[in-house]
Amino acid sequence: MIEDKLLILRFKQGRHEALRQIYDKYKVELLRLAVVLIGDSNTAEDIVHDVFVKFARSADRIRLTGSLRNYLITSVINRVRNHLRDSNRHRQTGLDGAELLVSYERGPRQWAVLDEQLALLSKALQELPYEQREVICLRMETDMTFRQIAARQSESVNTVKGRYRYGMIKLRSLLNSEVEK
Amino acid sequence: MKPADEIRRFFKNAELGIDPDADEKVFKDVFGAHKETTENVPAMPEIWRIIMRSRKAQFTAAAMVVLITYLCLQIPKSLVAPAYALDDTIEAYNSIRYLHVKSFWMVAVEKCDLESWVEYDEDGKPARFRSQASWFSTDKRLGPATFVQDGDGSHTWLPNLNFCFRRSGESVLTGALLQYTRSDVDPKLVCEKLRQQARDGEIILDVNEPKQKNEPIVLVVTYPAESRSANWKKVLYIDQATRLVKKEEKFEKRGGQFQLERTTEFLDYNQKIAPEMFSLDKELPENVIWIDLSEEVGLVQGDMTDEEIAKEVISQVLQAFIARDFNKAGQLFWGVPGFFIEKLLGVNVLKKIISVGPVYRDPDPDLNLMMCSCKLILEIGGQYYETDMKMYAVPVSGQPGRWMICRMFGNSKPASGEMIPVE
Repeated sequence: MIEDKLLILRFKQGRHEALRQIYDKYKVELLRLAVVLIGDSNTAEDIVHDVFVKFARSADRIRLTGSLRNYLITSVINRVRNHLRDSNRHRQTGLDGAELLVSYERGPRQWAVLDEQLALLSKALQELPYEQREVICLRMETDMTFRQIAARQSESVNTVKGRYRYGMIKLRSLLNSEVEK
Repeated sequence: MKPADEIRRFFKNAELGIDPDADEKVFKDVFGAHKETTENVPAMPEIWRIIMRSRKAQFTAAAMVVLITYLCLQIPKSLVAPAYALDDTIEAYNSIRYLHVKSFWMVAVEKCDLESWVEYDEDGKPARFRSQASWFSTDKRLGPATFVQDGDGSHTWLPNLNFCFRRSGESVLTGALLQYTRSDVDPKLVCEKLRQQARDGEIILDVNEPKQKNEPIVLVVTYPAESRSANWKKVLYIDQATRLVKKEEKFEKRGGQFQLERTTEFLDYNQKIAPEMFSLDKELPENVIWIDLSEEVGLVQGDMTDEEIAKEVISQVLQAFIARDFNKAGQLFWGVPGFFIEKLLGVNVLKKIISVGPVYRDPDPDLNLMMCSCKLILEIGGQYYETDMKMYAVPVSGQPGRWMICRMFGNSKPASGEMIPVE
């Protein structure tokens, strides 16, 4: 925490090595979170890329009241939600499983390299409703408490617990069937 | 090992690597953005700081803030009258511990009513509930049914038959009923779902807030043309003072017009329900026939789609009817014992399956049912009948990954032509 505060201080002073340290410290965690939330590596890469670029541009005005890690995680989640909302708005009829599979094929950039298990996990997670998926990903990837997730989703703790429970049941069944295959 | 631990291990073991070349390219973009920002600091903050060094400027700014605040406070309340929002109702339900509701709907020409009492725990989770249905099936011999979940187990009491089904823990039947009762009737869940659907653009929400305080706020929910529920409409009547739902009506469009499908009235909120309501001990006769329900219900979905598993479970139950294997049919139909299925079928004998399918999702926005049209030949009292049967498959409540048959009904007419032998 203190280390992050020093990093932010130096980052705001325009010290590029501080930016490098922040970038190296959080890029994998943010990429993992984006990949499991969105299921498509290319889009996840774009989201995390944009988050870091926007963060870098905010050096002169950023004022963190909480932790740097939470700030970056929130930025990723907000962008994922915006992306899903926009893609829902523009979605054409006829989107089916085949299209989803195509999105797993990698483009030329390949910033994030997923092992088989992560690819399987992110694919299974996409079968869950987004709200359930977000609760599970935040619990598993960021170790947030239900109370913190509830505050983030503007829901009651019970609603969040319910989403977690139902999501876990379905995810387990999906993963079991995938492993059996 | 707990399921959560297994999933957690799955998350921990899943790895993400970074391609160094692509990584440098991304960082170059990030670095460029940082450089651009730090080298082009806007002049405005500096100017502002210089201006604010003046005492006069500081005084003027402070006076402006006071003036704006005063003006904001003077805006007549009528201009900012609080518009109704679903959040108001969701918030209002946070303090509800007891609920008493009554629903009415029609199955073919039969009217059915279901009255439910639900007690919630401090976390808002249903702890105990009781539902009374006017009849269990259109076959009136089965009579009414009472479902009770007391927290430790569940009972389904059919007084006409003197049967009481029981299972420790949450039974599939009461679990499904509770799930249904809650998702369709629990106003908080209904409103939470509507709020989410409105955010996702899945529904069109029209709020009509009358000026007269004694009239309810009317929420009309319709579904976009591309939705599976495009022919459905829901109307919620909300008390203006308490923000609690008083009544819900569901309509389905038939013949170009919306027809009332189901009415739910919320009779009491937070009226303490007597503990005896959640127990059948004093109601059951001494000679009641106890029936323990089977543990595993339905079929495993595996890698089948919802349509495929629905068709499979429906096909298997029909094959079981033909083979007169009622135990198997019962296992696929709520997990009830074979003799009960035999009783349900009565004099109907399934002789031949002509077709099964197509399968599609039921358009009712509140149900997750797969519906399948089947053409069958039944023998009833020595006479053959062609029957169009609608069969419904559903995920088994409390048994993830399994599907069962939850209801079926059909219309028969005397079969024409010569009968083909059963395959």
